[in-house]
Amino acid sequence: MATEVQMPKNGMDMTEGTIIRWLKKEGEPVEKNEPLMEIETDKITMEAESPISGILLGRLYEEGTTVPVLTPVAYVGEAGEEVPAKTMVCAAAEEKGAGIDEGDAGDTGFTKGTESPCAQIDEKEVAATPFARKLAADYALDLHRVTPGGSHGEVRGQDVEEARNTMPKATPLARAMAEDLGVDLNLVAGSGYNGKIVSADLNPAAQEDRESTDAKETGETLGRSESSAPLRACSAEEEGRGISVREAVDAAMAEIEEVMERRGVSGMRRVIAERMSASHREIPSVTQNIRIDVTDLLALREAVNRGREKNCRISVNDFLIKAVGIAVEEQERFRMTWEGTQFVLHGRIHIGMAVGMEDGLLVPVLRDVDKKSLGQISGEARELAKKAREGRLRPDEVGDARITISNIGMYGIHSFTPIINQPEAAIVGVCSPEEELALLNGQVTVRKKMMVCVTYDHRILNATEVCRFEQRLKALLEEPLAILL
Amino acid sequence: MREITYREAIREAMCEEMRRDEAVYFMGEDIGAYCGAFGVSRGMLEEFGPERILEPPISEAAFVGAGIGSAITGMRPIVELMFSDFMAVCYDQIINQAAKMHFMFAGKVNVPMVIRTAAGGGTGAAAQHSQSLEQMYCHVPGLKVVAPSTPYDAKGLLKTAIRDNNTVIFLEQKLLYNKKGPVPEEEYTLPLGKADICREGKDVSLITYGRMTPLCLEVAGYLSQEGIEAEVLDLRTLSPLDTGAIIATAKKTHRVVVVHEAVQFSGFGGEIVSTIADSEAFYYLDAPVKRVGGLYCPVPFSPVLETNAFPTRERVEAAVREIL
Amino acid sequence: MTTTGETYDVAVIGGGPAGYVAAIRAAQLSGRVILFEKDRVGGVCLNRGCIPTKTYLKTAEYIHHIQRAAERGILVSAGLRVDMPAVAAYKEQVVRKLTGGVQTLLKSNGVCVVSGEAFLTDPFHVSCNAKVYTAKKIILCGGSQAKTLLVPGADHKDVMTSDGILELIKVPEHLGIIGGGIIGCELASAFCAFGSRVTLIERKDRIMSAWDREVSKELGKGLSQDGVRICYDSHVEEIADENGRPVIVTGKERIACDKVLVSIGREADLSCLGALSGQIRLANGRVAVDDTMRTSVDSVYACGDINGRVMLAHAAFKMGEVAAENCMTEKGRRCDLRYVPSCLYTSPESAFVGLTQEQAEKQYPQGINIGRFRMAANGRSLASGECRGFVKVIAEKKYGQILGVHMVGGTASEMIAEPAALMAMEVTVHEAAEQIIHAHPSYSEAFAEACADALGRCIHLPPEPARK
Repeated sequence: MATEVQMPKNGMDMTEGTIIRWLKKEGEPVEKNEPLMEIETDKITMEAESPISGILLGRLYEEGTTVPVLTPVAYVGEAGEEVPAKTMVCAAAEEKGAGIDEGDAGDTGFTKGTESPCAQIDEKEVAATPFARKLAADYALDLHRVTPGGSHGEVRGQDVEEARNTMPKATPLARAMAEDLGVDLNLVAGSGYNGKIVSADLNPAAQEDRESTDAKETGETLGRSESSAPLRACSAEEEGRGISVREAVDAAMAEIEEVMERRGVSGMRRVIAERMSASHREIPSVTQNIRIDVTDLLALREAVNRGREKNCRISVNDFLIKAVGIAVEEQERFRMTWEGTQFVLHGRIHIGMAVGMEDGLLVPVLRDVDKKSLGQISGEARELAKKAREGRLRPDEVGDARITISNIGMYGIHSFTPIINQPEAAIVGVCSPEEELALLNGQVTVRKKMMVCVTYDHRILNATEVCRFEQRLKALLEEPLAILL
Repeated sequence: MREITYREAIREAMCEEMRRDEAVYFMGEDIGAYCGAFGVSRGMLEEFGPERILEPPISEAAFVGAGIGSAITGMRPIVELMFSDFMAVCYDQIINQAAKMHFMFAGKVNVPMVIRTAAGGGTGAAAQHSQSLEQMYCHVPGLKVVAPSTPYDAKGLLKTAIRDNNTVIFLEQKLLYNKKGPVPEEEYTLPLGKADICREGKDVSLITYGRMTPLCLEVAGYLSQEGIEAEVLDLRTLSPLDTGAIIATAKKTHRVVVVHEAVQFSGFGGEIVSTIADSEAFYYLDAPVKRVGGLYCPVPFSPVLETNAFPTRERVEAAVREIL
Repeated sequence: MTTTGETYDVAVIGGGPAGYVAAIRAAQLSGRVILFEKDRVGGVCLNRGCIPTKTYLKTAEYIHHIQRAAERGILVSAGLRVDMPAVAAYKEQVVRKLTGGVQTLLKSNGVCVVSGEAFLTDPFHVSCNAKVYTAKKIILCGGSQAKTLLVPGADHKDVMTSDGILELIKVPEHLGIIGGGIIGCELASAFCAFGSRVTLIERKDRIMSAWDREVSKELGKGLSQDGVRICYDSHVEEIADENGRPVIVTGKERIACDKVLVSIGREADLSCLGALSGQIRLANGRVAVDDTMRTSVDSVYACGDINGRVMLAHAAFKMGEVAAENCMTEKGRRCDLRYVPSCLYTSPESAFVGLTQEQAEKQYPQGINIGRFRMAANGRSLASGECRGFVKVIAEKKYGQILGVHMVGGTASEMIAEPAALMAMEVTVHEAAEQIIHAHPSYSEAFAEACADALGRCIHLPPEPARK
């Protein structure tokens, strides 16, 4: 029997993956552990391998389809072997609870020429209890518009009741017109009492006609003497009324003219967007800046690198990673996470390293920084950054950092406010070293100073704790020999 | 109101009917001096004498057959089978004779017989003495099947069963014999085919009968503490079935859990669910209808295993929570 | 002239239905309010319009009932005689009670009432009795006055407006009425009952010419049956004098009368514009306002008859309320006057709300449905011996929107509230026919029947083909 290839589950929180690219064609031979497809999770992009050697008998999904983990996505077996009917596979996948992206489960060669019946059902049918269907029919409510509340994704009676209660208020005439015109009342701003939708809200043109007729009947339009303000508009589009149908159409037209292109979002970009806004929304964050004299650090770095191969020189960032590691080791609150009702203290010191890329950002993680030498750290950091840029990071090379370092010093930035990578307690932003004049032992000298910007989660840390952290960081970087110990 | 046990209620029903009607007599193994395996007939031999309290030899096929024979000549026998499991040895008499005669003799013959029998498990009596086989009798047209859960219902329904002109299988759950409940002194009867809403609720319906009725009431009590109001419907009579009550409660609460002690697979619960599914109640369902029945295994001897082979409070509660 | 030191939030000129309501509403919204009234608060409506005429019309109704009492088996032995001074006194008593009530209301709301004729001196000042008052907002509620007849002899001593006729304490033997609008018809109905011979002269081919044609026809028939002589298509050319009696000369005939009532309409009373007349924009001789009741001068509002939008007291109430709210808040509330019912208190009485059939046909070329139900088929009407009249419902075809409802008979002025409410709430004729249950027997059943008829499903009418 053919062996099924599943969407792998890499890590506890992976629930689905996107098939970015098939690496084998149907009918092509494949070795055991040979990459079969490229998948993208919310964290990384990776290759998934064939569990056995054989012929790729069938691919169940098109590229770009997002599939729940552990769902069969392909079959590998001997040439000519039977594979299960596509519909059964789909049904089984549905049973697992997570829906397959609508329509994307279309024809991939198993049932060539005919559309997969299960994909069709997915598009049109709403899972609903008989009672929910009855109520929806009684209320003339479209079940597609009801948010299902059942544990199997089905619409229940109470969901229909709720949907009905939140249905827009409208006069009977407005309802009849909306149904006839195919207008969704949810999108109409009501101008009647308490926001009730009246017929005029559905037909602003008719209303204007009426008003202009009124004006004509009055004989002349109402002008004002020069000294007074112009007469306010009195149409339905009055301020505070919400958007009228016409305005919505106008806005849509304007958009059509303005928008150059609409771009799909890569998994990574989507995840960045979601994580960043969640972080910004959930964390009461504060950023504290400290200026650190790095003249000696830069000198030390030069000394250390003397004679080293160009591709294995220690960077300022490596010193920073080590220094942050020391400070985090010393101050346990920086190793805490906030879980709503309690703090969780973590033991191992993993440090994230933000790596900017052409289309996004990745944060590979250096493990157990406290147990590694500067040289080891330097080597690993370089390797991780390279893998990140090449999209080769393994799942175990991301996540679980205690703190992240975001270094944009190479771009001449003076100061910034980084955003915390949840659930970490803080993020360390590193800026450019800048030359400035300073008095040293009564002599005017040139010193190099660099801004370090620490954004922290005020639920976990308070200002004095972060001051202590920053002072420690300052002490370490200004007397950098301690870092080497 | 005075309280008496289920056992006493059964005895009272028989005694009252025997006093009332000379044609009624009682026949069964060890029902005389020994007072029956469960002590139901205590004192009956003294009152009615060996003419009307008959103790036949240990052949169920023979004495059920004798009961049928006497019934068609105008007697109204109450036949006690010590364990309902033993019906298996007199199936031909019950199914091919008692249930059919009326129809095969063009309605000229009736078999007004009650077969009383101790059913169900929970007593450590193992696989051959603990079964709930009601579904098998319900499947045979011509038989009525009663399974009361309280002393009050047991007395009222048994009196009606004795007066009924059809053969009635009267199932007495062994563990109920010692249960006490209010029973009026004055005479009363209860109609067959009428279910009893023994607790009103709005959130879910527990449809059940026999020994599971007190269990369902207990579960309903627990759920009520969380604000979940379960309605408990005790069917009391399985054939004829009160379909109206089943449909009504399903329409009322939109959620149904069927609970019975008998093995769930192919059990009577299937009939209850079908009743809902092919009535207008279907359109009122807001969740799948759940069944909680006995596990698909012979009733184990080990007390721990036996307890868990039957529906437990936890299993009924879990079924309710699953659909709420 | 002296300027008083205080600055009022709102100054209201005119204490009629628009003015006193505006003043009270502004005071409810915590405004310091001053109101100027040159006569008695309550305006034309309370003093010389709606209320006094309704008092007379009720008296007329009594007379009708007594005259027809014999039909029901009530024999009134002594002859019927109208004691006009007592009729007038009763009316005066009602008027005083109501105006007194308005005065109390104004006082209890803390409105400062100044007696005297007031006018604007600039957008923020009002002059009255040689004093100048300052206000942030001013609401003009100057009301209207009866239009005068511009023909020779119109100044004859026995030619009067409604004001004059309500002062009469002797029933004129022959009353000539020029103009068949609301005032003309109602007073014709009243004086006819009081015993006058009434001749009604109407310029057009029907009375109540602004109303639905079918209503005009029914009302004309009703007045004629009651004894009013109606001369249609008659233009008054002159009022002649014959031995001191006025004679109405039309193109067709000469009608000698004892008194002549001129009721050819009302026009805005613009005297309160004062120094701003010419600056505040007018339209058709009325003060032009937008839907918030604001004039072309920002601080000045105008409501009631002076803006002429709908010359009815109940419309004035609503306009006054809206103007006051817009003076006191920034909400910019608009006054929707689409569903103002109009009532005529003749017997039978009549009322309508919305569009006439002609208007509806013009505005809804896609089609309208018309449902009718005659009061002669209404149980309550029959039992009450009031078989005249009908209810007519005009609905738009596609959605069933109720466009207009016209009623003659029953208690039309009360019954019109229902369609007015339904139309404002946009309830369609379908719901009106299907969902609303009317008491039986009641006059308002006729409305439900007419709605059903508009849908071609009236139970109590034979099917359309069988009606003729």
